[in-house]
Amino acid sequence: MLTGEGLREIETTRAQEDSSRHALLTALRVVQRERRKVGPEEIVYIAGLLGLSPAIVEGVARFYDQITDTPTGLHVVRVCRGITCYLRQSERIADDLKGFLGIKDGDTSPDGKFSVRLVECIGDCDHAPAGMVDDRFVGPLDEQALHTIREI
Amino acid sequence: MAKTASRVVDVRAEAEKHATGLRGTTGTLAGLGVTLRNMVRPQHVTIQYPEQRKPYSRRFRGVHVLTLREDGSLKCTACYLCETVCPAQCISIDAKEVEDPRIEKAPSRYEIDLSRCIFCGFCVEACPEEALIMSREYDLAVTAREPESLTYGIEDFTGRSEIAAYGAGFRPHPEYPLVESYVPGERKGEI
Amino acid sequence: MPIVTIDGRQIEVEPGTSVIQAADLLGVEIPRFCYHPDLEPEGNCRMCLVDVEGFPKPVVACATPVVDGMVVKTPHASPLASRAVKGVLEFLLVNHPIDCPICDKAGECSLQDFYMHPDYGQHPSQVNPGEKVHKRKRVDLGPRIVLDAERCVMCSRCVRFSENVTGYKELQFIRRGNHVELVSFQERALQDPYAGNFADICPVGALLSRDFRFKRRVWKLDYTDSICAGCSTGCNLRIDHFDGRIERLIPRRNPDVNRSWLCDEGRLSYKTLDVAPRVKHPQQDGEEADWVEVAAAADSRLRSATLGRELPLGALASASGTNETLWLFRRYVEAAFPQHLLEFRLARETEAVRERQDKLLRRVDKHPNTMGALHLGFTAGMGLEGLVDEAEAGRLGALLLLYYPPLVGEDSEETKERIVRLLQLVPESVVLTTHHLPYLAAAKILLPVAAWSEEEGTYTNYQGTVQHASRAVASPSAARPAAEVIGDLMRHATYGRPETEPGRVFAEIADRVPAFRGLRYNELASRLATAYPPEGRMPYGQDGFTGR
Repeated sequence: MLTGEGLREIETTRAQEDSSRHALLTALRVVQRERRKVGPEEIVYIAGLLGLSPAIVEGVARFYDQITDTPTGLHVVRVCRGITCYLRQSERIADDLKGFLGIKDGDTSPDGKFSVRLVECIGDCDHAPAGMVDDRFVGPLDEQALHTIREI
Repeated sequence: MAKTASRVVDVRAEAEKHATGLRGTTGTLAGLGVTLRNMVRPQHVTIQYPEQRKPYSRRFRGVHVLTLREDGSLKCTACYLCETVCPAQCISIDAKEVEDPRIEKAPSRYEIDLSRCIFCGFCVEACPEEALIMSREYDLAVTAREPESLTYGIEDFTGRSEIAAYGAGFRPHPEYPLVESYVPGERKGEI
Repeated sequence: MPIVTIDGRQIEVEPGTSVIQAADLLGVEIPRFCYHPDLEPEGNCRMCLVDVEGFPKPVVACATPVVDGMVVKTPHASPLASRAVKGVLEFLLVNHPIDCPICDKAGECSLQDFYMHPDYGQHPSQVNPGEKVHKRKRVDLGPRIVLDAERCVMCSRCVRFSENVTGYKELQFIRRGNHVELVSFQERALQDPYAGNFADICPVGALLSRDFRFKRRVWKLDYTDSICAGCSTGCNLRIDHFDGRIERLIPRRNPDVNRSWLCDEGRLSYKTLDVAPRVKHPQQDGEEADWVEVAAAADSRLRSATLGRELPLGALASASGTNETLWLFRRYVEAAFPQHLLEFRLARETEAVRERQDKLLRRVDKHPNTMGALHLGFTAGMGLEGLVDEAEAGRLGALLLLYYPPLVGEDSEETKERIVRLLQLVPESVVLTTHHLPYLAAAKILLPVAAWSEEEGTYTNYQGTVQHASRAVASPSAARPAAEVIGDLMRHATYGRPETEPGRVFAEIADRVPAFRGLRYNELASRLATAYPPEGRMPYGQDGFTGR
């Protein structure tokens, strides 16, 4: 189910900590990155890989919002809803951005390219309203930023 | 208060003084007068039951009724509160599963031995759902001695036309209307 | 050893004892959800908060070890602790569904009991029922358990049991905060052979027994302490019954035998009593007859077939009989039949009595009293197969058989065939048994005896521990405890009136049998075991409320 690189990452952690359970978070991150979700199939796979019960894997997976049970878009846009950004209309911006990117129902665009999600403070308050696309900060989310995002 | 001095009386002498001869009939005649006067006085205190019936209060505790939901199912969820609180221990219930996961439970058997019931209404008060109320029906005479003849079940508490005829009696929230068809297929009497 | 004062009462405890354990020993009630004596303490429910002198904040009694000189006040004695616990309960009840009328836990629910207590509950609710968070209800988790995730208070007892005790790890919490939900992955059925225990340890109605579902309100149940008769482990349990019918079995906590657990097979063992029809009346040569007549006939016929023809009696007792029954059986045989073959082994009981079937409770020997038989002088001997050989060689005059079908599983085809053969070969047979079984059909005289839950007596488990079982329900029709039946046979054979009352028989045994020396019937350790939680209140029916 995973690429060689992904599997290697997991194995490295497992070896370092000498524990399957410690490699669980790494496994979840890797699978989310490569398959854009951790659903029942993925949970069974990870459970088998690490020798854990599916119930335990699911318990950890569902704890985190970044580990999703439905597929995210190719690019995940995170709009900050921390107090600073909130005061700068981040919630409205998120809605606008969704329309802008063609997202009608839920979080993800029909072509699977983008997901837009409101998240807790990402710590980029001096560029409020802050946002991230995948691993990059793209705040402040002004008109220009929205276009830049769409061009990705 | 001055007390009159008591004196010893010769009973026979007193009797002979007051109650012999014509004087002895005065008491009887007075009574007869009352009787004859009342005989000719127009009055009808006797109600000609069963053709005539006395109206009873809307809080009258008569034979029980198991109420229904809009879809016709019993409101009762077999919680057993009525059975537990009954001072005569005459209610007997068995529970079963139902499809709807928000309801889950219903009675498969709900029986009250009316020959033991004291019609106190505790069961109705205990019911959290107004699933059990009492009607104003009071005619319960049967011709067999066996307790089974007066042990009523779910059919008896929902299906009889008498319930509609007598109307609803004792229930916790008379200010709320009962579901139209609380008796299946019957136009109810007055609620 | 440290001494702690709880609500003004002092107790000295072993080092390492937690405050909640000290309180349980003292009999001071501290409410709790997540604490369980047979699980590692977690401290996540916050219900056991207590006020400790000198500590700036209330602490959880389950995770606080006793320190010498500690002064603790529970919600009963400390307004601070009381307010704290009331707050915890209020939060737990915010999203709890108002299910009491349809929830089986009513009457033995920790949430109900704590809410009704003036020191922990009775806060006025400020929640609009329409705003409660909803979760999955009535999730089928297999043949043993039904899950209602809305009712869960997230104490994690089930998660810890599943992870640490049985290792099946099938239950886990997902999500966070208000939305935490207990799940089994993909709602898969639980495979755990100890799944029945979830319903006992869950303090609320989230995990409930499917077998017991909607059967009976718990305040109508009568409770009788007994011992599981499913295998040689002898788990301590309680028979919950109503009106002569057993409704469920639950474990009693005995740290030395079964802790707080029962295996699923043992838990459901009461159902096997209904599988085959019971023997209700004594039978002689296929005809029903009354006890006086048949008991006399049984003894006479056995003796004329053996003494009268100078052949030994084959006497096959049962490793499922109580110690008292086995003792009387042996005395009767030895006294009335100078030539006898005294056996009890049907198959591998004596080898397997200590053999484990899993890492937790179950053992291979499915008889509760193999050790008892051995201690009382029965030997592995020639066993059933030896008796068959003797009968085939024409060397048995008659057979006296005491037989109980196993409560867990069945005797092997081989054993059944041997019994059939034996009954066909002997000229005379008297069988004391509970059920009409096809392989017992050839018995000449059939005497109905009480089943495990219908008689009082003691059983000796694999460790050699003697444990006491009380009588829960009545035997059907004319069936009687085997000890009494054997007493009748003895009386007929010559001897006055032998003692058959279990307590007195036990005293006799304790007097004469080395393995029982020093034991006192009323002081056997199993009598102290109770179902956890110990503050598990008397069901309302037994405190006079409903007059039962």
